[in-house]
Amino acid sequence: MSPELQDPSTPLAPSARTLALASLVAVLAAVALLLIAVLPAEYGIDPLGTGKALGLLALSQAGDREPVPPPQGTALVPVQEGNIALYPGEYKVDSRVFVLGPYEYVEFKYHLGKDAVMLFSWSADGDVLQDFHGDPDGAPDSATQSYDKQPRRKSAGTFMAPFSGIHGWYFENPGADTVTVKVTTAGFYTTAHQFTMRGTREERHVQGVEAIPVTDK
Amino acid sequence: MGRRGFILGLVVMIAAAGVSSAFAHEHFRVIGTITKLDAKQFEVKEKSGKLMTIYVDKKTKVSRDKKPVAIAALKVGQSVVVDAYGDDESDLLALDIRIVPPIATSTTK
Repeated sequence: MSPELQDPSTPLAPSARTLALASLVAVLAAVALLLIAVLPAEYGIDPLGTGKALGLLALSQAGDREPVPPPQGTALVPVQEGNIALYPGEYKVDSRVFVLGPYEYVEFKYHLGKDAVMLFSWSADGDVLQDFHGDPDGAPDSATQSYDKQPRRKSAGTFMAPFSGIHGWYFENPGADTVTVKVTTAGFYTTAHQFTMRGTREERHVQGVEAIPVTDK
Repeated sequence: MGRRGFILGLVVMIAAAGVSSAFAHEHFRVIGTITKLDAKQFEVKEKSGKLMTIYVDKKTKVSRDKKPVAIAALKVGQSVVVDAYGDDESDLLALDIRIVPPIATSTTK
């Protein structure tokens, strides 16, 4: 009986020694990964200092930290944190259309705390006299501060209140044709006030951010 | 507090009330056509049809085309823009009267 010949294309089975060596290398690699990355990132355990060096420790701490509350207080004034100004509440949005007959005027202002910010955009379909100005809380008329009285038909920008008070626009139609002015704002104001030609001051409702339509596109 | 102190306090309160009421005057603008006129007051018909009586005094300024004119330049039938102040619509003193070109009577929105 002739001995069985092994097929030369079949690889040789590793020896038990080789298998043991390969297993040992795999276990060492796994332990190294555990010490270098998994323990620091998952549990904050950093025996080799690699977690700190690679920034993995922050991952373990992220889940443990309590959420930071917004700044406290009733006044809607900013608290600066680096490049960010945080407020105790949400901002408001508002949009108005004023139709001014010949020589009519309107004054519309928002109450902002000191350093609170507002974004604005307005446009008129004809010539208007405009005065963007502010009145400090509780001060006489003489304390009014004007920010911009340039002749304009439109304007857009940001505004930071230099003091706590009401800030906004005086629009006057200087001619005999009707003029329409549209004003849109968003900002950390609390109330809006309209002053009429009849010497009245009326508070106007402003909307919260929930009034902004949600788009899913 | 004696009687003298009480009277002094009363005087101060009355004076403070007077000062605050002087500052309580509101500004009004009246736009329309002069329908009546005399040396002390005039009447303006607004586009809504409402008649407004407004007093004048020697401090009242009158202008036409941005140039000052005498108060005698005011005539019945003229269109005017009146800036006035007072406690309410029935008690208005004209500060500034502008004579303007005739204003169309159509009502704005």
